[in-house]
Amino acid sequence: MKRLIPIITSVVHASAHAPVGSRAPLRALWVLLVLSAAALAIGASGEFGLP
Amino acid sequence: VILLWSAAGGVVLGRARGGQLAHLGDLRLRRAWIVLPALAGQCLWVFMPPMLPEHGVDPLRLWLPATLAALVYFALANRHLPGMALVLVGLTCNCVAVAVNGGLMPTNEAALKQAGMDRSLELAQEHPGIRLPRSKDVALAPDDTRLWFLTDTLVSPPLPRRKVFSVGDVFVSAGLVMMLTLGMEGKTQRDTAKGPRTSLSGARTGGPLT
Repeated sequence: MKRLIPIITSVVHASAHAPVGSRAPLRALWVLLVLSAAALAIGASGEFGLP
Repeated sequence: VILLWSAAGGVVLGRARGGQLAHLGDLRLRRAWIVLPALAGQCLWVFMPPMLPEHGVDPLRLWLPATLAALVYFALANRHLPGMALVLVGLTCNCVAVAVNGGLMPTNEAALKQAGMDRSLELAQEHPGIRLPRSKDVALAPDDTRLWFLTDTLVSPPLPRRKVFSVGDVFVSAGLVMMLTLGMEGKTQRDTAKGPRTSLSGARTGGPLT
């Protein structure tokens, strides 16, 4: 959980400062999700599981 | 999993350099629909028990090269993004290593021992050629491995467990960190000979998007 704190902090910070109604934080999360998923699918590091 | 650490590292580095996560929304991803089904299919087969070689071909031997080829298409469609060139190099390395070694990423006994993956090693010794459990790997003798330098021969530090990984994974990690760090800084296009990087967010909003 501690590893996720910097990411969650960034998301909250981005949400708090985005203009009202802005979809930028959601778009940012979508991009982060797609890029992380792509990296997992591309990567071939042995044993695919949670750390 | 090493690559998830890279994603987290890219976000942390981007924040440390004054970037904002919201800027990532300005990275225009093309053909993003390819990624999630590719990963979902890989997860399905990776977490299934491996098929014994004498019982037939493990489905991941077909699915992995197919999805890597699809991801090459995704990476090419997004080659305008900073860091995607590095990802493409790593992807090509992994893709070639998998393609020439029967559809799975080879690793070897020494790397598995060093990573402490004893159960996988025992299984590979009992059933040569079997896919290692919960992985995209197969243990092969060095003499039986084509392009061994592109295969899972490297061993990670304990994070918290050691993993074997390939030189392609290193390129992908570096590209991902670069993409996230520069993306958070609002640099949404890679450098070109025609001019400096551009910040689409700044151009659209007339100011920093936070």
